[in-house]
Amino acid sequence: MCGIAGLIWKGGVTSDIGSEMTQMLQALKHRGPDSTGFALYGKGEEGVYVLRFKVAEQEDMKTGFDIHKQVIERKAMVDTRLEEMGADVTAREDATEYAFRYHFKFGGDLKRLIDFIEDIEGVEILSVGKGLELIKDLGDAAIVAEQYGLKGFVGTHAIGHTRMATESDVDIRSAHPYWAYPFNDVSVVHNGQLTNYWTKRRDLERRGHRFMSNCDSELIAVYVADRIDQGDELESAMSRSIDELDGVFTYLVATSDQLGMAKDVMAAKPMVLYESDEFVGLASEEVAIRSIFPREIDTWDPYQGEVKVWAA
Amino acid sequence: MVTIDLSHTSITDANQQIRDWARDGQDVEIINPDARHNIGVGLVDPITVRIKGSAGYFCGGLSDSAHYEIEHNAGWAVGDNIYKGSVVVGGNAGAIAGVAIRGAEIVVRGNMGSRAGQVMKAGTLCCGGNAAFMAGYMMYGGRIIILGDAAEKVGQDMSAGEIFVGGNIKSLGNDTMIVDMEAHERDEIMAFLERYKLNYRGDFTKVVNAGKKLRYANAEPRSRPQPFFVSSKSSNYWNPKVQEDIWIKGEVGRYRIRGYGASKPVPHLNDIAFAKDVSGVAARPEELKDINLKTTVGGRFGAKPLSLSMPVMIAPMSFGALSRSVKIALARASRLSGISENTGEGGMLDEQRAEADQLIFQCLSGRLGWNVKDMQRADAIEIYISQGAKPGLGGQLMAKKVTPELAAIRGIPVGIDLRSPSRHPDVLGADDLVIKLQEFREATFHKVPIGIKMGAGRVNDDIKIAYKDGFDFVELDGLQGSTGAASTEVLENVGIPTLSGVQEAIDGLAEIDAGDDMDLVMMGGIKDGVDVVKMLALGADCTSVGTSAIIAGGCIACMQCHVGTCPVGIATQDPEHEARYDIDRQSMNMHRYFESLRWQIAAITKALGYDDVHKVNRGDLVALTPEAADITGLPFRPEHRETRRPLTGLELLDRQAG
Repeated sequence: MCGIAGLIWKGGVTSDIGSEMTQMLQALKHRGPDSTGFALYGKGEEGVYVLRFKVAEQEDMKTGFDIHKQVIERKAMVDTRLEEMGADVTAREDATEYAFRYHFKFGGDLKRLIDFIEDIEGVEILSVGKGLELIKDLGDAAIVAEQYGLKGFVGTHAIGHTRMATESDVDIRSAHPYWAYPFNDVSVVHNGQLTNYWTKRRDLERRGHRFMSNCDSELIAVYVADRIDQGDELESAMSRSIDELDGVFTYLVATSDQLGMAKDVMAAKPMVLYESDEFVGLASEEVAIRSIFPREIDTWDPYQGEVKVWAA
Repeated sequence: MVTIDLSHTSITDANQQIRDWARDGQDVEIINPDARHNIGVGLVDPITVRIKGSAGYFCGGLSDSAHYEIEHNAGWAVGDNIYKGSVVVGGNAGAIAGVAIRGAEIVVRGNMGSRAGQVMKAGTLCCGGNAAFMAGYMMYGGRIIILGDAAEKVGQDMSAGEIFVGGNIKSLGNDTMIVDMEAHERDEIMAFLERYKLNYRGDFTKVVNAGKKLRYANAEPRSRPQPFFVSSKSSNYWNPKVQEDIWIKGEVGRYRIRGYGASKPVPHLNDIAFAKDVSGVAARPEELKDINLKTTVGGRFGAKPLSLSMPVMIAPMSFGALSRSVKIALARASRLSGISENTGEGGMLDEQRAEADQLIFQCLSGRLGWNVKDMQRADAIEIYISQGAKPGLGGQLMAKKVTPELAAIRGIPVGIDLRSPSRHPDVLGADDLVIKLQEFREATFHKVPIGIKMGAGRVNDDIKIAYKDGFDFVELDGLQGSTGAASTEVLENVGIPTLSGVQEAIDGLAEIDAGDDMDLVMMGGIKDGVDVVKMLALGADCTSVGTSAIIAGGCIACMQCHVGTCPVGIATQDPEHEARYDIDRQSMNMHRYFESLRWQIAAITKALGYDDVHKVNRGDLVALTPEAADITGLPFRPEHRETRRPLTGLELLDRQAG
């Protein structure tokens, strides 16, 4: 019930990936008109983390009692806790009235910091990383990109997702991309269903991982990050997932410097791939890749069970 | 040659222009296609459409006689369901190239994606490069030529047809085998390749069906498969019917099959009553003539809606499960009563089209009998996802019913135990369904309503998908809906009751603030006008009746519908049995039954105090059982059970005496 897309510029080339991903996702709007999510990978500054967080949801802003005051209070609380933990916030930007983007320097236990901030009622951390910035909200790609000022976001690679919601619209937590808490810079988008979700989730929970939703896509993010944490390369982690995760799926994973795609053994979910010497584009439909390449290009469907990884 | 530039023309406008030019015999060139979907869909004139670039999903789909040349790549389902005509793809094709073709020639010069040629019936699908996973999956006929390599499971579950592979075959699918190729086959292939300028001199490996799974191995002994109950209310746990069931399974080694729907007791409309006493109404026809029963279905996006004389349709039932005579009688009765008939799976009959004023054409996963010409003469289109009797499973038609005539209209081999696929080849999620719906709209020029038929399962999610995907109406079928053949365990255990279905649907639509523009047609165990009014009061816009119509038209409910030797000529394709069916008489019986519904619906509407049946609402209902109250949220009023109970014979005598 969604469209997914990914792109990566090879060899350290950077581009306006904010606009590129917006165009790709806008071309997939028919697959998921309700909400849109972006995971954009910028170059980042040495030793500086980028924090994206929300203190309320878009829907709350319309209906919540006294919400505008609460938003200010919650943000102040985030500031206090960052300071308490010794984080040095170097920049603060308001993306919207309820969503913010901070730069900070920090030498301590990042997981503890994240948990401490998320402990504040109504606060959700979308992403923390040196390159990754994750944005998801209600509306199509053009609306979300406009709202969060994504045009002109320069970086090396990105993944994104358009979603058709059947659960409550307010529940943007169930929207992609998923950030693999608490691992830096790992994000996932996915199209399909996992059938061994609960078994695998229990395995990962026993290993101490936290799940924010009941969405199977989040499991892929945590699964891949867990394998990487245990020393797997991204590609071998993803190859293993083809055997261990059951169901129909295609998914894309991004890390600070890589983009990977995996397709299940039934090849039941669409994925079109374009690869040149300098660029790789992937999407649920070719029309998305075409939206950023007006010229004729060669595309193909990856095979069933195929895993591919590219480096920025 | 005229040129259409897709960079500033919408697909709908472009397709309209293509059709207009085609009527004048003009060829068309499409520039800047940019992998847009549904290019050239619905075309039925023999022109050539040249696409200067890449096409998206369903390029050339649902067409007849036209030729398409795609310079570059094609997305999913290129050439979907084409009868005659051709598509040539210069580059690669995505998944399910040549799906459900019925005679076309599809040539992909590059590689093709997975499940190429799925459920194809006739024609040739040729790939110059390599074919991915499951080429020829569930094919019923025709020829696939792969010049390069073929990946895993070639010909998986194919029923007939041939697959010729030039390169390596990674693995064969279920029930397939490699056989020697005949000399004339090679000559024909070479001639084909030459025609499309494909240069190949090598050998071929020929893959065909091995014939081990086309028929059930052991026939089930004839025993009236009467439903049996094992419930907390019965102490006779291992009763004779349960024993018989076990013995028969011991003999045949598989599940048993029967017709009809679930028979176990579940909360239903009988567990709901009207809040007001409606027993006193003695409505004469002249008193009821001003009660509005007129119902329209499918006007959500400006298509011409079905216009029904009352909130009743005939449920989808196939020519196949039912005999031709019954389909004609149903169509006639629908016209006489001003309601709609539905083709069900398996194609449209000319007589059925002629008899019915309003006919819904149904599209199923196997695309049996599905074609653009009949789509374009239908009054509404319905895509079948599942049915209440067996959600998630495909249809079954036993060999006895797969006669040459029936096989021809469906495009399948004669005399196989036909098991329709459980999934659509090109709809594997709500996202694909959006594009499929658009293809249907293009093929029918956005003029007829397009609905979705769903069995009640996860209704709360499904109904939201139907709404968001943009369907004009939903036909939702509960557990009590009947089928021509299904496993007994599935019938009793898989679906959810009609009552739960309607409530979940209404709740789901409310959760997304859907309003009431998408019409909800409820079916599954509707037996009289009382049920119809209760359904409407619960929130449905219309109902449909299948089993009760068939019973009105002569069915004796022996439940052996699957066997093919129906004693009254209804569920049969055997001419001798069908001869017992009197179309004139039975169509009148059905018509009179429908008129009894009309009278009852009007009488109750009046008794409830309304002049329009669409004004009935939840306030008019109470629940008689805790279960029904729990499902529907209606107030639990067990006392209504006593006061509304019909009098027994003795009570009636007492009353008369005293």
